[in-house]
Amino acid sequence: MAGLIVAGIVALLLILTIGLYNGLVRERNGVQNAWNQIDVQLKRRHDLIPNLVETAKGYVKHEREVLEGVTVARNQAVNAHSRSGQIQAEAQLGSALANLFAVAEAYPQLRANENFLKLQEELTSTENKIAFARQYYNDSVMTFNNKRQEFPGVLVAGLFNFKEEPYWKLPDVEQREAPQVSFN
Amino acid sequence: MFELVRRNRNRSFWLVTVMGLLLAATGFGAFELMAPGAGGIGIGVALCLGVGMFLVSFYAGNSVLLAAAGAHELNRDAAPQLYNIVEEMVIASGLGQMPKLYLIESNAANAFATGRNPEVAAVAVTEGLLNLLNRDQLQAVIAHELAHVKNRDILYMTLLAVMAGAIGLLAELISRYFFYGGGRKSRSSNTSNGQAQLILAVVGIALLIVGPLVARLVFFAASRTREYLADAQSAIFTRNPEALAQALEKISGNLSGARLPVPKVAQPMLIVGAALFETHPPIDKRIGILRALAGGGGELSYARYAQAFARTLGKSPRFLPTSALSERAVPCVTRPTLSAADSAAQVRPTGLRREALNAVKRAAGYEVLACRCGATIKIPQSYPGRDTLRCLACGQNLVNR
Repeated sequence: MAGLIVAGIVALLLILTIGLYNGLVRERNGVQNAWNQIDVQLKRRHDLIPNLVETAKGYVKHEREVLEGVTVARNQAVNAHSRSGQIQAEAQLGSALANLFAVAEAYPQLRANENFLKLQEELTSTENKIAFARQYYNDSVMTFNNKRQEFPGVLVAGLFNFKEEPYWKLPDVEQREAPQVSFN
Repeated sequence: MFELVRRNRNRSFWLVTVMGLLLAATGFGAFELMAPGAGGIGIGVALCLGVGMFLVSFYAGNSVLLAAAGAHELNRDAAPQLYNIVEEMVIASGLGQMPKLYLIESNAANAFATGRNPEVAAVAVTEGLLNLLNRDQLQAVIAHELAHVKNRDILYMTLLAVMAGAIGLLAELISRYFFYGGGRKSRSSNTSNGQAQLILAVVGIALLIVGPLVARLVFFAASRTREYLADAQSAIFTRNPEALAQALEKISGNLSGARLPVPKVAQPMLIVGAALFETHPPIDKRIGILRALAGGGGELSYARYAQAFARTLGKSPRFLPTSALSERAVPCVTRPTLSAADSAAQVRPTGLRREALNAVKRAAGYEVLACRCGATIKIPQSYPGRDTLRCLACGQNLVNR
């Protein structure tokens, strides 16, 4: 009888552990998946930029350095090796692009170019997708880390060595642009 | 949010079960009247009918509804921006799968989602909606629809709408036969013919009673809570509750225009229901909650939505799952936008335009608050969030420092 009870308790504990373990694995895969999303979008941005520069070249004659800035920033981002280096380079690329689009405002012919408009929309969307993917990545990290730290997940996480995942913080405050502000 | 998915699955299951039982009872009654002892066959016939109806609505419900609304599929080349917007929201919501996109050629501004799960889902928008909204507002509407997909609202709603439609159609066919075709033949009828007519009459009457009941059920099911919840999720996916508020405002302002060619049973699935049907919460309440959320210190969470809900409606929302309420707040960020066209003009008024705007604001009695960081914020008189207002540039508290 006592043996049966012990066996029952062991079986129950085993089932609970399996459930918790699987839950943690699922969340961790979610985090990895969210990171891959970001990667896909960053690559897409790198692919779009040479086209954009090529299109803008014919129009923006007096502001070569803006175009060069974009190209340089892109190459740095492509060649970045460490994750932190990439985050830094991508931020620079983002502001270089914003700069180019601001300059483009002064060239009506460029703004009327269909190809340019198409590329602008694609890049805008890619930028948004990066932001949303980062947002989803951070949400996934939060869910995973919470589950990892809370009882009873913390027991299983310790047992199977689930590491805490890092948040992707915005490297640059300038990226949080604010609306309706005027600097008089 | 998995509780919601489970709740909707359970509801779908019960819906199908109850419908099956109702149909079986109708079949039993009808055949028993014709020939005592034949009730079993009646159950069989009714169940076949029921299973057929279920299969159609489960596997083809979305196609049926989309066809009824006159929607046709959009490919990427036809609407690259819409595709981009939907892709962005698919990423933000973590749905993992693009729904199919459909366009309805109508000037009415509306949208709906249908399907059975995220893998088989469709979002339909009208031409009027695309013309009316700007990019951010359209994005908020898409996020609302994808929330319905994510919560599996679409499965339950599609099943209900198609079944209600089928029963309504059946009842109408039988009653037409009975009142017109049947009546004409009755003079020369023998007894068996008369019995057959009696059965049809009974079935017809039964369906006539059940039909509207199911239709009512559709409207109850489109419980307002689903809409509030999808609004909250839209705000969290986009991090931009103001955009959805603006979109709802524009859509409701446009409601008096062209009517959307959507069957009555599918009305509850629209983002903004026609005023006639009270399936959707009053739109000004939805807007009010979103605005309260947008002006609430720049942080978003389901808990904050619940607070805004309670403040606006005077009662606490019980539909939010507890797991959602315990989620941490996320910042309400305005992402840097590269699309210079319409948004930049609003964000950074320059030169004459700014002068003119400032003059208008001074005349309207706007209060000018200067922040230490050099920014000035102009707020309307009696702005409700004045005392907790933070600088939009640096985040410092402006009033109570």
